[in-house]
Amino acid sequence: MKQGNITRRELLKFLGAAGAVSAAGSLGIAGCSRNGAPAGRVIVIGGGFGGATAAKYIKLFNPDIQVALIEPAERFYTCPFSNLYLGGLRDMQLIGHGYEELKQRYQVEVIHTLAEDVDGSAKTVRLADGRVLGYDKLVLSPGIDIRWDALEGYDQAAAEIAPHAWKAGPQTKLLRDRLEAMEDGGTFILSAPANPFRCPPGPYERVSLIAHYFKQHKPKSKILLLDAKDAFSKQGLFMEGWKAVYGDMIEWVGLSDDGRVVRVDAQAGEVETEFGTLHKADAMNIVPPQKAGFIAVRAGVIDTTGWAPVKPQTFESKMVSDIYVVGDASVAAPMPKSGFCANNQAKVVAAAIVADLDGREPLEARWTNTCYSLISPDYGISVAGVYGVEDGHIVETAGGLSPLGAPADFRQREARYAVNWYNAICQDTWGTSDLPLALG
Amino acid sequence: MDRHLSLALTLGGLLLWGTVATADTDEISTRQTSLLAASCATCHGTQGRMSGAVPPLAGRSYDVLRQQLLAFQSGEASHATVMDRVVANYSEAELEAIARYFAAIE
Ligand SMILES: Cc1cc2nc3c(=O)[nH]c(=O)nc-3n(C[C@H](O)[C@H](O)[C@H](O)COP(=O)(O)OP(=O)(O)OC[C@H]3O[C@@H](n4cnc5c(N)ncnc54)[C@H](O)[C@@H]3O)c2cc1C
Ligand code: HEC
Repeated sequence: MKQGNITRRELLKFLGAAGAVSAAGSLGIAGCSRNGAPAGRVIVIGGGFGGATAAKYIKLFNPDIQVALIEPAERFYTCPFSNLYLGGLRDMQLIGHGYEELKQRYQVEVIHTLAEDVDGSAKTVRLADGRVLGYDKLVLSPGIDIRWDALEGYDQAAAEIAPHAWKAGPQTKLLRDRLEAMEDGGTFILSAPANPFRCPPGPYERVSLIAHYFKQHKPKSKILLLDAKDAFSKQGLFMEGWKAVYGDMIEWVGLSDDGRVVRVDAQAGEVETEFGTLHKADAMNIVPPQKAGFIAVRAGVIDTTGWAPVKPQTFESKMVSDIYVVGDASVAAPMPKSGFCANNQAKVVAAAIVADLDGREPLEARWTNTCYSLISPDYGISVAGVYGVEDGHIVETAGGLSPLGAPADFRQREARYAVNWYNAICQDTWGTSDLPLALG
Repeated sequence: MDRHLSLALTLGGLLLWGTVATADTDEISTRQTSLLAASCATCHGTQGRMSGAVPPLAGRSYDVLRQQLLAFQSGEASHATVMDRVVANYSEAELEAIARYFAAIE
């Protein structure tokens, strides 16, 4: 049954691997080859977009490898679609995902605790419960930490009054409470950071969906977006959409026009920009500067930028061997810090680890990204990119933006495909099924 | 495929992978194809099995998948919102290998 150069039988063998995992597990030999020795031990730190995907795909590619995933939370709340929650379009419960598929179907050992330290020469990880685990390969996907020292007046206590909501969960709820408490006719301020940061289109989608909420419930309100840069992701498309859907409700002030916030007074509900202008807000969202999660620092894989440089082909750290860094914590430009990229990087890392443990050369790396943003429930836009490695650097080889001036039905279809994308990535990453296609 | 056979083959450890990619032959290994196809899963579900706003890719006919992918690439699929941008730079051999991968599922 030869079809070109891949036989159907070979593919079925590959695809049979997932089924075989659970079968093997029930025989009590998960993670071992037939002679009883595991094909290698991998630890993954972080059960978000990058980490959960890496754990799953290592098992899909080679079920004989033992995989342990370290993640403190039993339920992971996604930043993607947290803006829909803020806009009143999705329940919090629908953006939470668990680890059942990884545990049951793929036999990943999920350990719900924090990894406190990594010793890259002894190849061990120390957990908060005191255990020390050894690894052959370590994957780090810890996401971001907030740089609490970067913005005057903005510390952890201030974030309890003026939330960042840049990690989904209680912070997101707090921001929603602030929006609900605001009077009609009030001013909402969002402060956006300079590059690089998690999710380049995130702040702009957020003000869009907050505008959607205001338009329905507090139509006299204003949104002021103070920005530490002069250009932003999908700018033309966002501006076109804001005008069409919200008129003048959203005002964007870029860096050159004194948009950069330099001081926050959360108690007084006030921010100060670079040239000394004071802005009063009735509700505030400060998106502060960020850095790689602290465990990357402990592992010794970050440089002076606060992020982890990696070898493009495999995403192995340039600084410590056998440690791979994926997702927001890595330096992967021109790929953005997105959940989509974290998911795709994790698959390339999974393949690289499986190949290396097997004594083979890595496969050719290729990544895809698409950042969908919703301007309203029936107005979606996107930017896509396909990336590869040329001359030792990651380059964008294809992609582009949704067209400007597209008809309403195109925007409507992209909004529907945005939801379809969310459902697909959550299925692919955590195994969540039956998420609704409808909004509201 | 029968579950026992699949289990035996996998636990046998010696997976006979397809031809190895070489620059001059355009041949794409099964492993390389699996990795390329894994990027589609982010919008179509693991192994292209998700059914949502787009029908599942898994188990569709090779000819139909191939024709659709080539039409996205050439711009003939005028209803496309994003697939044209996604596949713009894949080679024909890659698209065919990916179509074969999804056609072989189930
Ligand atoms: C408002 C907003 C909207 C967004 N929208 C989109 C979108 O539409 N599309 C898109 O692609 N991306 C979007 N993103 C970006 C996306 O959220 C991130 O790029 C993605 O989460 C990065 O994945 P990651 O694996 O690097 O980190 P995360 O997904 O944050 O996962 C990190 C995990 O590691 C765990 N962890 C950290 N340290 C440790 C430790 N020491 N021990 C154990 N566990 C640890 C954390 O608990 C966390 O669960 C959005 C982001 C925001 C803020
Ligand atoms: C960014 C999300 C995204 C990615 C990544 C993606 N697709 Fe799609 N796919 C879509 C959408 C949306 C459609 C509907 C057509 C459109 O609007 O472009 C679609 C349609 C299709 C169709 C036509 C299905 C039908 O019956 O109409 C095929 C075939 C397909 N995709 C294959 C693939 C393959 C193969 C890959 C990986 C190389 C892939 N897709 C990657 C989003 C995606």
